Amino acid sequence: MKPVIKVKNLRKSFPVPIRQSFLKRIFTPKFEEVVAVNNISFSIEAGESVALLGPNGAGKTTTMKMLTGILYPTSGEIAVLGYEPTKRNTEMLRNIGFVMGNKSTLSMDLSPMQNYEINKVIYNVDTVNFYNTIRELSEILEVDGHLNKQTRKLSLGQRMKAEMINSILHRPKILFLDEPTIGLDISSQNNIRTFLRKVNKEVGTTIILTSHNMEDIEQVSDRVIIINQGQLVYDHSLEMLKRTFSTKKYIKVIFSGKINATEITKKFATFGAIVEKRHDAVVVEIDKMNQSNAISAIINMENVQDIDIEGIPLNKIIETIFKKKIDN
Amino acid sequence: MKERVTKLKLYASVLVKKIVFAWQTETAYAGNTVGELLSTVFYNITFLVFIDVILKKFKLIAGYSFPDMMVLTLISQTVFYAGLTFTYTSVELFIKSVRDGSFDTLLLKPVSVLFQVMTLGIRPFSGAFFSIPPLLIYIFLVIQQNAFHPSMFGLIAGIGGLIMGILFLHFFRFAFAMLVFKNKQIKNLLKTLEFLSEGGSYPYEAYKGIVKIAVLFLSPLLAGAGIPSLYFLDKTASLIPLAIEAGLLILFSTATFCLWKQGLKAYESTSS
Repeated sequence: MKPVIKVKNLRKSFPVPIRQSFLKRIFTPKFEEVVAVNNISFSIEAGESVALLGPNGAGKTTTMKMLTGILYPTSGEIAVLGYEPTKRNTEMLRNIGFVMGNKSTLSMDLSPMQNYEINKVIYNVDTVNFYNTIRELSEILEVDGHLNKQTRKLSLGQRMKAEMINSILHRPKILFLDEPTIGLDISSQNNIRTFLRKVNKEVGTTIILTSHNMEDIEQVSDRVIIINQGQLVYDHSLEMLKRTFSTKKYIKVIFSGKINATEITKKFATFGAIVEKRHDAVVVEIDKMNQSNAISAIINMENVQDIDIEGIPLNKIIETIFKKKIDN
Repeated sequence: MKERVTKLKLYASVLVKKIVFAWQTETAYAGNTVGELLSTVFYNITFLVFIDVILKKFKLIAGYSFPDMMVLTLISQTVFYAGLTFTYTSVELFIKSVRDGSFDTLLLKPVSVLFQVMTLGIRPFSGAFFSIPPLLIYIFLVIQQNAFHPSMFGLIAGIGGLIMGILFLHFFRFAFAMLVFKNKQIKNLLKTLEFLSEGGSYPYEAYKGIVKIAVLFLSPLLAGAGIPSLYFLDKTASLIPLAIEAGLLILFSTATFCLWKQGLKAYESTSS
């Protein structure tokens, strides 16, 4: 399949002023170069759903902004739908959408519906499609009763959903999402995830998502690109990522009463590393190979009320990859 | 050709929608709109009282009588309200958008970003709402004083000067506004420009020597209003002032486009 996004040796640095006295700052300002994205390359095919992950300041949003033409790269090549984003080709811009969880694209003084009207004209959406799309999207996102209220009077969840409709109204081929579920309640988060999955699977929209919420990644993405300190450190499918770490398991043991911390630490240390310890529960990370031995030993312990076995959570996996990079 | 017509139609539709959008935004808060109207009316009344008092004492300001001053003020207020309608709000919103990162959303739209920026705060309806009451006062005074009777040359040159003056004012402010890409905060610089604009309330002849040249560059309202008034009042038959105004327009429009191109490359957005 032909890639819709191609990135080669992409680099972005920002000049940051060095602290100087007031007069020097005015007449002879000095800057140092801070590298936000350092020589990354990847490509994304049509219909993929890719998560761009990394700790704060890793360069995820900067990468997305370069992919959408908001920022000029310092060096390197980008092609989105065959166009260089900073050239701002109309055809490319008609086929991308960008949802920014931390920024509003809607005018607060007007209703979402009034806001959509201007995008209808800009993207040349015909009237029948316009109303059908709004009806369909607002039903899926459960905001149909709120689109005629002034935007500033909407709750964060309602506004975020209204933003989502605004960004997808023109049916883009590529949808960029930067923290789309930030600050939302669980039900709104689930709505948005289900919606994004549907758009990706049924319509074939390519999705590029950044989020610190691992459920967003697990439910929406198939592939994970991890960026740390501006460099690409991992690029594989989500399944592969989980499989790599599937040699480890978490065993959560719940006791019927208060536990003796020293005694429990001593006993559980023989199985593996203790990840979490509460007054009535312990979570231990074990090798999959030792799983049956560990379980039979735990069952024979006193006051054991429940045992729960699960794979390593995605956030722990990602954290491990971040740490590995920093250690290297 | 067909493609150009389609593009033109698109831009015209976007412009109409933006005007409606601006009107809806402004009328969302009626109290604020009425407040702005009251402030403009109040400003003009106090200015008229001031001119009346001065001219009762001195009879002429830099060779301008009370009727001449009314023509000058009518022209300078026309230029000012044209700025209020087409320029000032757009400049303010543009600066705000670069500072808070909402400029990002303009860059994502499939229409010219500069077109979007220059029409961000375009408001012909409210511009008319604010400008018609004070302008009617001046039109009434100009008619009452029988102050406006230019020659054919004066009328044509004056209209040309007025149009160029409005455009010059527009690009003058935008050229400075482009500095926001580099400086991030330029509020005080724009405040200075507003004070300089006050220079346009007085006749061009009031300035002497080097100041006479300097103010043309520093006070856009003076160039925009003072020069057309010279022609409307038949105070000159020379085309030099008009040529200077055309030069200023070319200079500042070129500066705007150059700074815009550099600005886009330097734009840093805001972190998420």
